[in-house]
Amino acid sequence: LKRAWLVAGLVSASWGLLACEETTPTSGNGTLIPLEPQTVALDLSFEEFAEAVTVYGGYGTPSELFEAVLAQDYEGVLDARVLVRYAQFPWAASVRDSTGTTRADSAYTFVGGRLVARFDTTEANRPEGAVVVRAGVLPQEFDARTASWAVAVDTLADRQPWGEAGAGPAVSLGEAEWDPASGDSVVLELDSAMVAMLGDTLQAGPGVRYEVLTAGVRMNLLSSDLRLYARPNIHQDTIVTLNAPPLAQTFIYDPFPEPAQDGIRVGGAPSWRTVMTFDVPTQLPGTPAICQRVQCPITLTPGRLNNATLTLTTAPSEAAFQPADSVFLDARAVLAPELLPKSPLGTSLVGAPGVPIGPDGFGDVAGQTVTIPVTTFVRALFDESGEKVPDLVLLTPLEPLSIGFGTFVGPGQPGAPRLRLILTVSDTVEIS
Amino acid sequence: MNASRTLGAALAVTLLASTPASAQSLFASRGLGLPLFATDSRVLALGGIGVGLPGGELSLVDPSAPAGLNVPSVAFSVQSTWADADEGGAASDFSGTRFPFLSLGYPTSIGTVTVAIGSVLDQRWITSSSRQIDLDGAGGLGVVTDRFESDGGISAVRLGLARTLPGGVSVGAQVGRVIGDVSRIFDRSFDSLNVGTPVPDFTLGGRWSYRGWTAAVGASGMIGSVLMVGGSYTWSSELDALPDENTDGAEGSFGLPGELRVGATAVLSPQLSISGGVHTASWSAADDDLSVGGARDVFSWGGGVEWSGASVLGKPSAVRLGYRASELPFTLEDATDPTETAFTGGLGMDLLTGGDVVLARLDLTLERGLRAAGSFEERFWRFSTSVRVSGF
Repeated sequence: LKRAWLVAGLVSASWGLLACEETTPTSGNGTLIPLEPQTVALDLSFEEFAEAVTVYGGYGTPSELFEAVLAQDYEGVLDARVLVRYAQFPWAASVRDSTGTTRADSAYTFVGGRLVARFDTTEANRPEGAVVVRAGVLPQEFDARTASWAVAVDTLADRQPWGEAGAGPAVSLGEAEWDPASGDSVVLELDSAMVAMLGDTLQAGPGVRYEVLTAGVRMNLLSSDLRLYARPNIHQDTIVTLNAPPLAQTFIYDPFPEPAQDGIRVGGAPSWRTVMTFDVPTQLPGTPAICQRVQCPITLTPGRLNNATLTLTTAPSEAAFQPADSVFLDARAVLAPELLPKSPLGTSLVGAPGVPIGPDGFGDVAGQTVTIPVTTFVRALFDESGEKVPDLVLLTPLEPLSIGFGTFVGPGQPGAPRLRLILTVSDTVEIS
Repeated sequence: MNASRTLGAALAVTLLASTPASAQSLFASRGLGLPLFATDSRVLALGGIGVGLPGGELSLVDPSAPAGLNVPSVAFSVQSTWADADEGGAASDFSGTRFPFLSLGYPTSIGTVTVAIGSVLDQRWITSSSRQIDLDGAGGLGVVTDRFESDGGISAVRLGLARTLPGGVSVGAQVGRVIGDVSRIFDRSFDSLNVGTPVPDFTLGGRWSYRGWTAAVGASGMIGSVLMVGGSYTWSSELDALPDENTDGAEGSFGLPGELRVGATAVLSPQLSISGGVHTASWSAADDDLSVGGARDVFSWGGGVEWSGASVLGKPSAVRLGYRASELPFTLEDATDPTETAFTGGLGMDLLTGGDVVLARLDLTLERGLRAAGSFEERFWRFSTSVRVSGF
């Protein structure tokens, strides 16, 4: 009996191995498909799919940018200055005495110092020629997160205007010429009196205002260092170098670019966002050509919607605020519109890093169309089971990204936003 | 105790072998699918009708056949198919393995009790095509690829009783359920719509489960010492197709055919016999229920010769040759009636015997067949293996 089972098992197993390749009969004959879905594209104007756009500003601060902006009468308009607060001067230096022993010396004397500023030398951010940079001692404490052209501190219970608009009046520490062709840094030598003056604002911390004096320039300050030279008391024929690293940095600028009515703006520092309120009709009229293929009006349902894209047209940003690098565009649902401008947002509809748009799109070659996928968002508008979220926010994935911002044509103008829907209308699949 | 343990082992083997059937034919795309032969390899080799054959067999098509079993037995079949299809010049090929038949028989004092499951209809097929569409009616073109996949099938599970009446006539009856399920999925992918973003596929479809009742009766016996005749009739209720909760499609109900089989075997010598039979199925009962194509009553015939005097590897063996011709029930809009014909050859080996009882038997059958409907042809090789183990 065991042999019988063995034989049966071997035969079955060997047979299973013999024909183990499984391929389903596949026909290239499309007529076997028992339904005829129709896929159509509908292009909706702004007035057909949305109610309004609203621009909100104030997201992030210039202090969060890695690059700080210096400008002087740029495009005849923009002035920007960089404010840096350095750490308190070191209280002691490690010095080797006459016996060769290293000791902490707190009775040293500052004999001078230098400010070293390093600038962005990338093509779009580099001045065309030599520029003059000036540094000055800040007259008062500033809050890097809230400082602006007019105000040094602007927190909830504390508002302190500058003595002079533009972080003034500042006592000059000196000027230096920087030629981008010769390097990326400029050095301002400080004498002992300047160092003493700089270190005198103990409560506020040593603060320096950088500005560019050459008109028509906008450039980026990447970093700045304060180095101090001191003569130790225990070894007076030696000069030691001490560092006071930057603790806080921001930039202030003037004028502040107010957004145009019905414009669409993203980016900038602080950043702008544009909220678009959708009102997509459930019944879509269709065009005569489309209505020959499907029954009109077309009822829009989540299942029928294959794809929804929002098409924007780039417009020139204000000349002084045109981005120097690509602007990345993101789109998210506004989860609690009643909390705007501080509403929580949904996940990105675009995905990292966003839709890139070259800087020229907001300048010389404005008028480019930008396509943003909003399928998930529009589908949710017609989902019976969930709460409908009609507001979509356009923004940059990182806020702030740069002082420059992107501008798009708003409603009521040629190139206004459009919504393109791709729908597939089909009967249900039935059994045989 | 020992008997029930071995019975359990046999059931385990049966269940283990009952993996889902794989695809057989592009003709499965028509109507309710491709009718299948839920028989063992010996029946296939002798024309596929399956009634009026001598020897106690486990069978879904002849309820009286198990009456001849005098020891507990389990039998199952494995079929592998390799096919080439030609759709008006478009060629394709496919292959697959399936388990069309499983059965267990246990002799009792009132007769042989059987449990059997067999394939009834295959519904596994795919069709796909790409084409250009005008999205907006203004020349905004895009390319889409449509794909429809049906994956499923229908089987019958029956409990039966067969016994030999005084006078030598064997009778049997089976009753059971028609079961199965199918998923039918349409998918449209958008290859190049030029919308600037990827467009997810448009997919819809659903899954239905099948429910119905079936019963069969049969009888067979010798007329004289030369001729054995037999017949069976299978009745089936309406087949209900019930959508699951995620399916938008409606439920369906389909008429299943009454099937009549009549066959006979002439025993020309102790080692040589010739058999033949006919089969009709009233599939037109489903004609009004189909939304695509139609259904018709079909007639099939087949026969074969068996010589059991051979010996292979020292084992008593039988050599078989046969032929069958069948009408297939489901038609498409082409209104061309599809047919299936096949030449068959087989070998049966008694691997182990104990006294007069065959304890293990192996049957092998090779078929070369053609399914055709107008310009649509499908040629196939099918190799079937049946194993019957007895005496546990």
